[in-house]
Amino acid sequence: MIELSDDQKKWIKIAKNFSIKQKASLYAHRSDDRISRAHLLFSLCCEEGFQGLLVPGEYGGSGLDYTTAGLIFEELGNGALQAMPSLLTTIHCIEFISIAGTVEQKKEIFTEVIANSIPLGFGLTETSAGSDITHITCMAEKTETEYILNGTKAIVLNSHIAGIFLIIARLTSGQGRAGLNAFLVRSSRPGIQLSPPYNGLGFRETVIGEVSLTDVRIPHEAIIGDEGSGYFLLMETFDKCKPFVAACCVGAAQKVFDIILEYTKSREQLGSTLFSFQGISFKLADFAAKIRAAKLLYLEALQRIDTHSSFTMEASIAKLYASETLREISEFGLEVLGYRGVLEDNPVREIFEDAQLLIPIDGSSNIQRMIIASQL
Amino acid sequence: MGFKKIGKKIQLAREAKGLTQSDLAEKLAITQAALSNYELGKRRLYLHQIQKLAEILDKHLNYFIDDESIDRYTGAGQDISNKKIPLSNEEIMTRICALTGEETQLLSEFLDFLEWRKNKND
Repeated sequence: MIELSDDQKKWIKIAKNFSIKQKASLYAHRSDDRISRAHLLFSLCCEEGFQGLLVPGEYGGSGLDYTTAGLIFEELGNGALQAMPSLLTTIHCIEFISIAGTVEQKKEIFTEVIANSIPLGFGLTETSAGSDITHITCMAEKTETEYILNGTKAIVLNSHIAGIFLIIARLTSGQGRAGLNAFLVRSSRPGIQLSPPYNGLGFRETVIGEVSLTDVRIPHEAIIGDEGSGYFLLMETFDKCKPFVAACCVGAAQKVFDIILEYTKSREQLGSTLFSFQGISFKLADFAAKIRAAKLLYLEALQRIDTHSSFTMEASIAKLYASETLREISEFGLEVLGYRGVLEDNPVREIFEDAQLLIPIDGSSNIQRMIIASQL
Repeated sequence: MGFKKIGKKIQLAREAKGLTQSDLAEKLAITQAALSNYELGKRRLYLHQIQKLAEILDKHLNYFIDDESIDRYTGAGQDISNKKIPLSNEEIMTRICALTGEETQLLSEFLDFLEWRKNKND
């Protein structure tokens, strides 16, 4: 049995109430454009302090442990899934800075994010480099006084709302893991150009776009960590954040489960409720077990991070299991709901669409399988 | 996966320093089993751990992730189909005797690698 502390219960209640608040705000601004709605959603998250959950109190954050943050993400995944890509992206960048940033970087960036509600953008993926980061071509040329960045990041979450980007670029030409580094780049820097946001499936309040950097000059102090540390920083950040993505998937899967359960217990066909057919109820029994297991897996991974135990494999297992459970149950939900499921604004359809973006964050399922297999 | 190569690099650098797994594990304040897992690529190293390793082993971070430097030991990526491979023990010994001390050390590391790979595949 999972015993929650009073503090965890308090935060979960805040997250539960947030879902109602954000729904009302988004409805009131339903005719605004995508970028404005993305700004609005992030600002609402900031009002509750969700962007600073893991930031130490000395920098204005809540200084929570990973486990408590995971429980909050599960609740947000259940009631406010639309907010998650923007929030998770900012949390990823914060994690980078927490691991290897200087005190000055922490003061500067965390203050911006927490006091000024500035979202962060993450620039890793390029046209020919995604899961395989060895093919990153974005270059950082080091001069006596600054770094000069050139390259294009093809898929940048928060592209049009971020005040600061975390850009992965290489200091040495060629390919491979060596030479990769993370740089903090203000979005107002000359040489940064944004393409119009993509119009993809799901997450209608999220902005994703291409960010081009042409001779973008940044000071030497903008590098995060020692030169050559980028690869290790990326792996650590992904591994620490995977359980958060898993927690969101658990919350979203539980929501789909609740909708299906309610529907199948009230909908009658052939003289019985849908739930009375074992083809439905046994499937739901399997999903009840899977969702419970997925929750325990992400909590185990986060507790291992909190207690400084090894967590690589546990994080990948949690992410793989939770995201595949969400994929399966959202497909099942569409099947059960039939025509109703594919109507616009149907919550199961929205979660099904959102899941397509949520699932690959921090690596696709096959990437997780590769990591797990490498540790067997 | 990248961490298998990183693990091999750690092993090579450790042996070049004349350290056993127990010696290095003690310096890192971890168990010998944990270090063995790192060297086998079965456990991921994160930044503070690799920084500590780099300091103890006198290496730059890039040493552990630079693919070229391990290829130097393993021959990976090179076409050896047309190269002459010595067949007699005498010829092998003659060539070993002609090596400098540093080259002998490199050969020793390469032999360690071959043994490691053989044991791994057994």
